[in-house]
Parts: sequence; structure tokens; C-alpha cells
Amino acid sequence: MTTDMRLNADIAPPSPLRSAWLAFAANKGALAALIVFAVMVVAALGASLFAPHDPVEQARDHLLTPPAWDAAGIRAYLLGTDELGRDLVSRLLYGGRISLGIAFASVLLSTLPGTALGLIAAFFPRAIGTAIMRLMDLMLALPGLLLALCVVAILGPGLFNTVIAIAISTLPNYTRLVRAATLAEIPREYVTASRVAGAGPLRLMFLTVLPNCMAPLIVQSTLGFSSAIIQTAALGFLGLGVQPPMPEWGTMLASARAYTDSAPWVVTVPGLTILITVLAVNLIGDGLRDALDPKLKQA
Amino acid sequence: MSLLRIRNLRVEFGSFPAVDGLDLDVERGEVLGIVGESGSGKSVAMLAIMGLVDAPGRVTADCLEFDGQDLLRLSASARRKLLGRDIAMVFQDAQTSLDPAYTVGDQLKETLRAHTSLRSTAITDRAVALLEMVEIPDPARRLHTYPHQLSGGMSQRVMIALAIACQPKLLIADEPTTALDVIVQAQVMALLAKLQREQDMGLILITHDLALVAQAARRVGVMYAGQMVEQQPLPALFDTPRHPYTRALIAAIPEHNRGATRLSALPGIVPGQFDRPSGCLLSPRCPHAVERCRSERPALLGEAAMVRCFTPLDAQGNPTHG
Repeated sequence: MTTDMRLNADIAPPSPLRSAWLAFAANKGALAALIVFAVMVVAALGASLFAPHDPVEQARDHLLTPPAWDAAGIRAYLLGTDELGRDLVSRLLYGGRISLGIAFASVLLSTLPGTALGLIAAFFPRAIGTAIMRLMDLMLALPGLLLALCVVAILGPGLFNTVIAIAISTLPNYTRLVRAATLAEIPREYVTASRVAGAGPLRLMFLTVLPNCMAPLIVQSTLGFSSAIIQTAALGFLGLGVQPPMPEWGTMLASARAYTDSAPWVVTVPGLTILITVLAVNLIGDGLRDALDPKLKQA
Repeated sequence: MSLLRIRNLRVEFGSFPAVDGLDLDVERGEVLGIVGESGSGKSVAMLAIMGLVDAPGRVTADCLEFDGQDLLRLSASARRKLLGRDIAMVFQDAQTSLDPAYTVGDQLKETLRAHTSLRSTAITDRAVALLEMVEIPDPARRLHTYPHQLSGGMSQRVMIALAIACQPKLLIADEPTTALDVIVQAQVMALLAKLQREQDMGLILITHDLALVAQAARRVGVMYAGQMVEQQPLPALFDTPRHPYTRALIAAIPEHNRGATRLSALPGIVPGQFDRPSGCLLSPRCPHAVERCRSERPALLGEAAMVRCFTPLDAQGNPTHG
């Protein structure tokens, strides 16, 4: 009897979470990207521990110092300093908090209402659903960055308003995605079965249908994270996002662009950081897509 | 007093009546079989009883009573409370009827939590007991399995466990064994029959398998194009079918056609939305149709044997004129 049980345990298929992780881990690129991203997050969260300098402290006698490996470099400023003599390493670390924080907050702020709106639109397709979806079409008619610019123009620049601007401009993506996934699930028999068991509309929406729509939503919000980083940087670059002296990657890029010729490291360093982060998040998103896509899963 | 009493139930989609004046009585502890071909309105009628026909479908009835309560007058939430607790349903394809995102145990416990006062460990115990009742081996471990890890027969057993979780007074089984192979079919039917006896449930068994109905039901209704055309106790329905459609249905069973090169069949197809006859719905296909059949609709008449025909067949299969 005990041996039977153990045999059963061995041949039992892994749980959904575990099988998704196994599929994800098999993708070496995604795994490496996950490690890179994890390092980024830890570095940003622990910025106050790791940063050698205060990010806004100005070393007046070390303006535009090149990185440490350059002949003119100073070891105290590993990646050099910017035009005001601020340490680039420290600014990158503290900037990560802001850039990643904005991206995370804006994804959260667009995913949650987007999911709710999508579910409502799918469950009440007549008046409410039509109204929601036409509003989303209207928002999609404007390019995302332009919409974000409009919101910033109305609310004014700043950290929190950047979050709201990005969240609003990406909201339609989530609403449409969740609505489409929900519409595909509603006619399935298990939904009828839970209605037959007496489930009310709220339970149907959030407990029955939503968990079955999670896979595309997770993938979309991961990819949305990377586009939020780019949008934050774009708004910062245009001077409409986070305001100086707050260290934000896009703002750093913008303030240094006058020195592209004389001190290329001041633009290269934040630019490369944005590139690496976005690339890592995209690779994670692709890995998640492969791991969670039921069509690619062997039955 | 009957457990379920339906008079003149109509379900319309636009101008098309999917269910056209259905009368039905189910007593406590009775097994009623409903047979009919695909699209004859069996499943829609059952969904209408449960109040689950969505717009644009329209449901009307003169009387729709369950256990002394008028279902038409209950509020939507009160009616929903009945579902899953007093009325439960088992579907054709169990593997798609279970929610793929939750384990078997979660689904059982959710139903119990919603409809009973059981809590914490009592719920788990009851869930294990239910899986045991539907004869699933090693029930405590099966609580942690996901629906995709179960075979078709196992999923159907889980569906049945879910349906009987709150000891319903009426169980509607909508083609419960169509998706299963013959051996599992027999096991599931035996299980349903056993549970029905033990719990004294009313059971409506919807199927197009006449052999299945012959084994399980005591009374059988035959539906055609949204109408009940004949209702008789067994085995009288098989011995002396009184409606030409029932007779044709029984004659079409392959075992009754030994040696014939073609199966016996009625010419034509079920009337659709645009060619619904004004007279008897079977009249374009009926070998015995007379002038009156084409102009007037017959009513479902009779006591023990109810039949919707102007010239019901006698024991020899000849139309009676009278």
C-alpha cells in the first residue's frame, strides 16, 4: 500500500505552478534575464547600502570625471561623474528605485482597473460593455506617449503624475486583453456548471473566470513593465516626468545630452542601464509566454 | 404534491420556440427519462427550470413550481440559492465542466462552503466522504488533483460528487454518459442509480440513448421539436408506443434492424425556424398524417399514457381513427 502511494506520487503530474516554472527554467535566456533583473531590483532596493555617495551631492572639483578605468578616472567615482559632479553609480542605483518603482506602480495601476473593466465589459456586453469598449477604442486612437503627454499637461509634471499618465495610457491594452480572454471562457461548460451550482456574478467573474485568464494577463503585464520603463524615461527626457535633481534614468539622459561629445559616459551609462533592464524584462516576458501558453504545453 | 411541476413552459429565441408548451411532473424519488434527438429542446428546458436561459432567450410558463415554491416569483438571488443546494445538474462532458484552475478538493469545498453551514475540517471530511460515495479510490489524495489529471470517467464521478454535495432533492443529468465509453457508462449509470435510491432524489435523465433510459427510468417522455409528444411508464413505452415518432425512434434502434440493408428511419428532418408546420409538428414526416394533422395542432392527452396525436397508434402499430 505504501509503495503504491509512492509510485502514485512519482507519476503524478507536477502542479501548474511547478510545471510553469520548469518550462520557464528550461529557457536559458529567460532564466539569465530573470537573474539580471533580480540583481537590478536588489541593487535599487538596497541603494542606500550600496551607493558610495549621496546621489545629489555635488563634487565641485570633479565635474565630468571619466569612469575609473580611464586614465583620468578616479577610483572613488567608478562610473565617473556628471556635469554637476554627482556620482553616476549612486545616481543609477537611486534612479533604479524611481524608474522601476514608477514602472511597477503604473503597471499595477493599469492592470487592476483594466482587469476589472475587461471583466465587466465581457459579463455585461450590452450597454455597459459597449460603453467601456468604445471609450477604450477612443483612448487607443491616440499614440500612447501622446496620451501620456496630454495627461501630464493636465496634471503637471512630477513623480506621481508620471505614474498616472503611464497607467492611463496603457489601460486599454489590459481591458481589451482581459475582455477577449473572458469572452472566450464564458461559454465554456465549467462556467455553466458553476452557474448551475448557484454562483453569483461576482464569484463567476473573479473566482471562476479570472484565474483561467491569468496566463495572457501575466505575460502582458510583464511586457507592459518594460514599456513603462521606456515611457518613464521618455517623459523624463522630455522634461515632463520626474523633475531634477531627483535621479531618474530618463532625466539623467536628458540633462547629460549636451555633453555627448565631450563626456560620452554620462549618456552611455543611463542609456545602457535602460537598455539592459528593458531587454531583461522582455526576455522574462517571452519566457513566461512560452511557459504559460497552453497551446505549447504538452498535454 | 410533486417535487417539480411545470405547465406550458416556453423558451423562445426570437420567434423560434426552442421549448414549446412543455408540461412535466417529477415526484420525489422518481426517475424520469427524457429522450429526443439533438435540438429537440431537452437541455434548454432544463436550463430554463434553473433560470439560466440568458437574453435574448425568453422564458414563460403558466406554472413552474419546485418543492412548493413558485420559481417564477422567487428573486434572482433566492433562486440562485436553490441551485446547487436543492437542484443540481450533471453535464455531458465532465472534463470541460470542471474548472481547470482549481483542484477537485477546492471545487468541492467551495460548493460546500457556499451552500452548507459546515466549516474548516468538517468540510474536508465531507469532501472526502463525497469522493468515497462516488467510488473514487484514495479520495483524500484525489482532493489535491487538478481536473486535467483525471480520466473522463473519474471527472464524471467528481461532477456527480459536486452535484450531490448538498443532498439535492432534484438531480438533472444531461446526457451524463455520452462522452464515456460503454464500460464506464455502465459504471456511472449504476452509481447514479445507487445514489438516487440512497438519497431518494428526484432524477431527470436526459439522453438520446434509449437503452440507457430503458434500464434506469420508470417513466419516459419523448420530445420532438420542442414539444413533449409522448409520455408513458416503462416498459409500456417500448411495448406499445402510441406516437408515430416514438415508434419510429424505437424502430431505428440498430438491434431492431437485424438483416436489413438500411436502418429504418423517418424521411425528412426536424422542422427549423422557418418551416415550422402550422399543424402537428411531425405531420410532414409522419406516415399516417391525415388532413387534420396538417391544419391543427394536437394536444398532449391521456392519463397514464399521454400522447400528442389525433390518431394514436394501437398495440399493433396501426393508427386509430376516432
